[in-house]
Formats: sequence, structure tokens, C-alpha cells
Amino acid sequence: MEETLSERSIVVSFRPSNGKLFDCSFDPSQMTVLQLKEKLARETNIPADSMRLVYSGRILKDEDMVDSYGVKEGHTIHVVRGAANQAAEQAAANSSSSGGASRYATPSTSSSPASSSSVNPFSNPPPTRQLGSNSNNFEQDLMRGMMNSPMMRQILSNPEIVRSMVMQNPTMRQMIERNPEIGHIINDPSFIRQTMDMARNPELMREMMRNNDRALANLETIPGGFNHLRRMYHTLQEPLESAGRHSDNSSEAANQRLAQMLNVESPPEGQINSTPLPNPWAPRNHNNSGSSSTTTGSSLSQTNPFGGISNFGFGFPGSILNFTTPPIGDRIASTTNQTSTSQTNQTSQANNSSSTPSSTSAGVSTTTPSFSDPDLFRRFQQAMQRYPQYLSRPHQQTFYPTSLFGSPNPFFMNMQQSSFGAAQPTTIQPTEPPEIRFRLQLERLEEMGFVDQAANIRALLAAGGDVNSAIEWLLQNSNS
Amino acid sequence: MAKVPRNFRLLEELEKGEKGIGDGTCSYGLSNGDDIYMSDWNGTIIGPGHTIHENRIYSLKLHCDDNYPDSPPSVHFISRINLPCVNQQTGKVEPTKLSCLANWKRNYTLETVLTDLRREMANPHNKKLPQPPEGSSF
Repeated sequence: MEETLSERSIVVSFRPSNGKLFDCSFDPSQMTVLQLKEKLARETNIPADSMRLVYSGRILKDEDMVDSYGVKEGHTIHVVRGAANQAAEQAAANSSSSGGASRYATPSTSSSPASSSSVNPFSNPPPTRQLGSNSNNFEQDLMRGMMNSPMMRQILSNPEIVRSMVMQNPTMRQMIERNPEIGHIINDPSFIRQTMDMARNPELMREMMRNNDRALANLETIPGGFNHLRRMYHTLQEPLESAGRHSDNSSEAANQRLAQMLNVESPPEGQINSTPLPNPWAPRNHNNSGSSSTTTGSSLSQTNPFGGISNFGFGFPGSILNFTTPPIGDRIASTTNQTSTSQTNQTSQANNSSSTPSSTSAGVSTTTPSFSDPDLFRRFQQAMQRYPQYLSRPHQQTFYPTSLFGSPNPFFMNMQQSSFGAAQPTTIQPTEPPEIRFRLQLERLEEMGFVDQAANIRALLAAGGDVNSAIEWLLQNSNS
Repeated sequence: MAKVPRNFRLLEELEKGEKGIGDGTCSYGLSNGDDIYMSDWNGTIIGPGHTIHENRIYSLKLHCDDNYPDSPPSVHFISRINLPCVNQQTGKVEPTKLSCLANWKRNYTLETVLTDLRREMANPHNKKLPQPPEGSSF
């Protein structure tokens, strides 16, 4: 390798995994990989200690000279953002294990601006996913950092103080006064301690949530599981949720307004309601999410996926397109998802039935032993977390009809609101021909050696523009 | 169409690998730059996002015998990985369990193999498989 011995700089391309190719010139015989990384850290915004460089199928080691890998003029080095190096990881592990709590645990923290902005159920994905998303990492870090201060740790390690903090919050106090069973939870030091444990370790929490979702799904498959889940829902979920909501007279008015907007008539008294549920996607004068004018073909023809389903809050699977044919048997799985992710939109019917202390305490007392159930923590945390929001935006929260019979299905509305935020970009009707729309993807496919442009376009159309799926499609079709 | 002889073909792939032509998720190159037969290759796969492999880089070695590209290369993982098509004792990718090796075509390349393996990692059945700690190797 004569060139690498000469003392001159070469120009090498760098290819970040998510960004534009850029060039950088350096002298490979004078530079270690670590120095190169530091140089690159200024160009990209990847810190040197979490940057990894890959060239010719090898991961470059920090201490080696760059020229020992035979990098030459015009070659490309891949820049990958990896996990931070071990020292940093260790530090993070230490700090996260040393105590604190997060906004999920205490209402006092949930009133801080950062966290209240994150719990808007209309703009964010459901909490389970929210935990995994990047947008939340910043807040988690912030919160973890705050909770790691020795003072906070001291405070939060004492359940008594936490309890008094909770009780100092007037809205929490009201809630507890109205719902004695919530008070029991707060009085239970072990509950608080466990909540803190979970809250200060997001990994643990995420894991537990996942386990819970799976456990619920498994439960559903055993005989009688459905009934058990329903019972759990009625005895645990509803009281907790309704506890986080005060009976609001304006909800009736809001419901009526919504019903009017959707052209729904009240069902005749004492009769089975056979009128279909309205189509929330249908064009109408007022729309509350501002985005419902983008419609999908399948949903246009859809009128009543939920007519005839009883008052139990059936949701539908996460995709808008799926809901056209949801067999009832499958429903309980999505019900459990819905109940865990969309409590904000529970009907106020549930509210009415359980806001009387006698009925709820009866319900909860039968299940008190399962307060060690982390699922319950989660729901309780969510209820606590959301509570301040109800006060600030009562109208939005209670925008849903009192009864599922003959009125818009609240989950329908929920899905509409939550899914349009995410789905909107994909539902925009393409106007350009696929050759232009998929220009970049086509180039990439060609680079990879798929030369049949017509097939590439077909694959990209089938894959909705995703190169990886398109490759899969191409390979499958060429194999067969 | 004339058959491209082995060495021309491998030179072509070497250039592609060094220049990083491709989708940027896989990288490959000769393990020994002086190897005029171009038999032994290193490969890396950058773990696909939104899977358990995210933020990981997997190293592999690939061996192209004299019959390449008429016969598929043999592929071994160096980084430990838990995938159904990978022998958990040796790290060898079982040719029968990876579609592109099982149905090898002459126009497949080392990159095809690597991207196919990466796709296998992102496969819904595999993307959540528990994985050995990063940095361990076979």
C-alpha cells in the first residue's frame, strides 16, 4: 500500500446511516480512528464516544491508525450512531439505579410544564408506545436527572412525604375524597415504593408494560378469559379512570353537540337501537381534528363497524384500514389494548356508574390484593397523570357521548384523533407519477443491482415506497 | 449474456464495498487486502432500526470458494447473534435456512447475502428475539 505511506491527505466519503454523504480529507497515516471520530463529531452531531465507523466490513477500533485498514482516496466509511461506550453506559446505569421517580409517580411533578405537554392524548401516541419513542427520551432524561439529585431522592424515598405531597395538591385531594379507594392506594407505602422503583427505571417500566400486555393477551385465549378480563376492566379500570374525572355537566351538552355534528339521532326509548353508527370520516361542516378531510377509500364506504356491539368499550385494531372487518371474537385483545391506551375517551357512562363511592369501593375491595399488579400501577399513574388535564380542558375530555347506543363510538373518535396525526402524511394522495415520486428509491434499487425499472416501480408501489420491503418483494417475485 | 468470471466479479464487488455503494446498511471488504484470490471477506450488518438489533453492528466473515459466484459463499457470524438461520454453536449461517443461499442465483452478490440477513433480523418473527450481549463473539 504505497499511497498510505506517503504523507498526504486523502479525501474519503463518510456515509452516516441517516443523513447525507459528506466528504472529509485527512491524512490516514497521521490519525488514529479516535482522532478521526473526534473530527467527525464536529461534522455530524454524533458524539465521538457513541460513534462507530465501519469500513470494508470491519469496525474501526479507536486505537488503530486509520491507514491500517487500507482506506484510500474515494472510499467510503460508514458512520453509525451506536450505543454510548461502556463507561458512559455504566455511569447511566449507576445514576438510574440510585433513586428518584418520574412524572408518572407524583401529581406534583405532573404539573410541571415539560410533563404536562407530553400527556396530551390528542397529539401523542398511546403511552405504551410513547415510552419507546424518541420524543419522550428528552423528558425522561430530564426527569431522571432531576430525580437523581440527592434531595429529591431523599424526599421520594419517604412514602409519607410523597403522600403529603399528593394530598397537598387540591385536585388530588378532591379526587381522593370522592374516591376513598384511591386514598387507600396512596396510604399504602409499599405501593408508593414500588411505583417509585418502576418510575425511576424506564426500562423496567417498559418491560413490565410489555409483559402485561402479553399476559392480558394470553389470558384472553384461555376459556373464560374474556369474562375475567371484562371483570377486571369493570372492577379496576373503570373506577380508576372515573376517579380521574369529575362529573361534568357540560359533557351532556358537548355530547349533544357532537351528536348533532355527526347527524346522530337519539335512539328511541326502550327499543333496540338498530341505526348504524355515523361515519366520522364523512365530510361535514365542522371537524374537530382539522385533518379528517383526508379520507381513505376504505373508510369512506364504512358506515357502522360497531353497531350491534354492546356497551362494553370495544375498540378496534390499531390500523384504520383494519377496522372494516373486525370479528367480535378477536375483539377482546384489542379491547385490552384500548382499555390500557385510550382511557381518556371512555364514556362518561362508565363515569356515572362508578363515581358513587359505594359501587366503586365494592368493586375495588374485591380486588385489593392485586394492587401489587403493575398493570394497576400503570393505570393509576395514568389516571393521576391525566388528572390535571381534565381540569384544564374539561370540554375536550368530555366531548364524547354518554351512551354507545346510537351515538358515535368514542373509540372511533379516539382512533380518528390519534391515528390521523400519524397517518396523515401517508394518506395524502400522490400526484406525481411513481417514477418521480420514487426517484431516490429507484436509484438506490438500481445501485443494489435491481436493474428492471418496471419491476422496481411495481415493487415500490407494492411496498409503499419502502426500499427494504421493495427488495423483499423483488426477491420473492424473482424467486418464484 | 457472457458470464462474468469469478475474479472480475469479486473485483467489482470489492470496489462497491470500498466505495460504499449500496444502501449503507451493510459493508464488506477483503479481510486481507493482499489476498489476490479474494476468498475471504469481512462483512458488517448495521442492525435494523426498531428491532432488538438497533444500534448494534454485527461482524461476519464470508468465504468465496473457487466456484463463486456459481455457488453461494459460506457465511459465518463473528458477533454472537440469535437468529434461526444461524448455528448457535459455530455462528455459521445455515445455507438451507436463508432463502438467498438456498436459492442461490449467479447474479446474487455478497451484498445480497448481507441485506438478506439484515432483513431476516428485521423479520417480525425475529426482531424481538432475545440477543446475547453486544460484543460477544462465536
